[in-house]
Amino acid sequence: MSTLLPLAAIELSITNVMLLIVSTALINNFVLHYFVGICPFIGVSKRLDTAAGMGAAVTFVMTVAAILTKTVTYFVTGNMNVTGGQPGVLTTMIAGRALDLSFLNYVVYILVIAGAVQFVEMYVRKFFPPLYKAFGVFLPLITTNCAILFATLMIMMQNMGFAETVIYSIAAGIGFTIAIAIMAGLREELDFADVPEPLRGPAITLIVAGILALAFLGFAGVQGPSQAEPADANAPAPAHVETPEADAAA
Amino acid sequence: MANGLPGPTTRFFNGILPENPVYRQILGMCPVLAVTNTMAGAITMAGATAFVLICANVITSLLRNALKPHLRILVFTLTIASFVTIADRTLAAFLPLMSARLGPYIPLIIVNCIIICRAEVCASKQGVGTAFFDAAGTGLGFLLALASISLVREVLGNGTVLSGWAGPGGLGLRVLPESFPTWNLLLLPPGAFFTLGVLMGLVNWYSLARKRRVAQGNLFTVGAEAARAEVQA
Amino acid sequence: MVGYIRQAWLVLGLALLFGVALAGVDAALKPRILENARVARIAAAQEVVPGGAAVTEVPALPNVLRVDDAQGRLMGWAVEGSGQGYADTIRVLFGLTPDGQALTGLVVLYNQETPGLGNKITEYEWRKQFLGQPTDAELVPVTRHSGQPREIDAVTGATISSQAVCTIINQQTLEPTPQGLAPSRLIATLADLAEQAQISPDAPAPGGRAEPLPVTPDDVSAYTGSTPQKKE
Repeated sequence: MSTLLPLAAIELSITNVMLLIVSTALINNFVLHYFVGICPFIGVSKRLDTAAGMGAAVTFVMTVAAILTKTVTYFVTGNMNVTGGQPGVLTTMIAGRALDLSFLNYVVYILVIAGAVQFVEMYVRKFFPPLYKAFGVFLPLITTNCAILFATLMIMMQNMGFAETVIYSIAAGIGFTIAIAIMAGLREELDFADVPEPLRGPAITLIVAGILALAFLGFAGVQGPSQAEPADANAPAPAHVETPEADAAA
Repeated sequence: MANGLPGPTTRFFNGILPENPVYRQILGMCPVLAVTNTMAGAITMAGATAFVLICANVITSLLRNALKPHLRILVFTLTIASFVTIADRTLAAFLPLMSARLGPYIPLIIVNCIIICRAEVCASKQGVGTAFFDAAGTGLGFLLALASISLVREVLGNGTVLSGWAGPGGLGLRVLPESFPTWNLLLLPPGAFFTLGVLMGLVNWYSLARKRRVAQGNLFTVGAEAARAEVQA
Repeated sequence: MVGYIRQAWLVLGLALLFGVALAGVDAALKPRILENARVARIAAAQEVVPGGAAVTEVPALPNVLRVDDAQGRLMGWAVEGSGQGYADTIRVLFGLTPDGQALTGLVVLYNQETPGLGNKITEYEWRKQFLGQPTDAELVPVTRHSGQPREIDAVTGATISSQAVCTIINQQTLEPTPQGLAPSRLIATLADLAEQAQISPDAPAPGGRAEPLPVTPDDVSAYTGSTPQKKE
């Protein structure tokens, strides 16, 4: 752990990073487990290519916003509201004592996200026109996409370090893209299905999403080495030496 | 209304059923799915949302003449985020368990499309009274939607109602016998999607059937008042 | 500049106004919020250490609470730990005897385990197995109990949640060494502190104030999400 900037609350081993990615992208999928980003999930996910564009845009903005809000939280406002939180580093230095500004976090986050979206849009339009053509139209929609705010809130509440923040937000974006792309593929097929009239539209989308969530529930079995061998009743002491960190991955 | 916009009473009742934010406008899906596995959580969430909705609508309506068009959304967001923080802190102080259970979903009210939608559609154009009743009606409609979904999920998934608030040991009032095989799935994320999908289908089925009867001129079975509201909608 | 201000006076004014309002609300509610967290921690600590009345912080050990009885005698320690469960992080608080050699109780502070399966770890019927378990070797969740100590019956269908709780406790009480698992530094520190308390039983924990706090069983059950337990 760096003394200057906290990189992560966990030890950044390959196992832990992989676990963090799998658990964020698949097990605790933003759309199918936390239900955030449902609006574009239902609204935009009608065609595979638009869904992929939306997913890319969300991943990009989420990462930028997560880094920015983490920086603001760490240096300025602090996150004293949560267990194990600390006050902002710079404000503490200036004020000379721990100053709790965490009540400003929500306001600051949403303003940072709104600002970040604006800048990303301008930047991408000027310097990466092909990229802008691919997902530029979705950028304004993203400000009110709860997935972005949710990611920044989770990072604040779980007190993640900077490296963790980056990994978490990218993994969350990948998870969002996977869910929305699968859904778009399903809905393209759904157009040809004979759905009962009252269920047409959002209702059948939700039911299909439920089946998809059911499938994703299976990923919850994918976890560290903890459940590898159910202890044998005849062997009172376990043979393996456990590696405590592997299970501690958030 | 002089400008052709609906008055306070219409706004109020429209928000509850004809323009129900969840079933009709498909807005604010995130809390609808995420916090409805217990009724207590759902009602708290709806209360917090209604509080923010009413405050934001009233403030927006007061400021409506000073708003610059391009700064409108910024002002809305600032107002909403501030009231959400107040709601969040108040819950943490007076309902700590509920606050812990709802966790990040309380701050997510900031991006609940219902609030910004009402600010755009009603509060930035109409007076304070209308904005207040509009927000109250929409909030009530949201509460009804959340309560109905959580009722289905909690009763079938856990066999109780209002667990955490009522009943012996705060475990809820048991409405299904202990022997009933509870559908745990309904408490899990997929259950949220299924319940909302099926309920939405039922609402659609009901309104389709009613529309058909209206179309057949069979107004007596429906009631002229309801039919008129339906046609307007 | 003047143009900007003319454009944005409303936004700036509102930001200032809301900022002040939020600071006011926060200042007014903060004592209550902190008190809630403290009461919850104390209630849980009293539940995991039988006979506990006064709960104090232990300086230098942020995840440990010292639990004394009403006469100020050390009854044990409440240790907080967390780890990955099936769905999300699980946070537990477990009680230790003064010398740290055995568990005296367990509550689950936070879990998002599957309702009806994994979240059975919050029920007293399951948690009471941890009472009296020694801490000198790993706790092992088993599906078939052979009567050995340190065996915990895994919740049917939720081995991962059961394993997670055992792992959290093992991580706090044991440390890997080249010779295998040995009691952790935490246990050694607690045993030392207990010895000091024996020598001068009247002296409260350094830096901590003994503040007995009456908490009703309802608070505990509400906090741990379980039925109020019947202590035999």
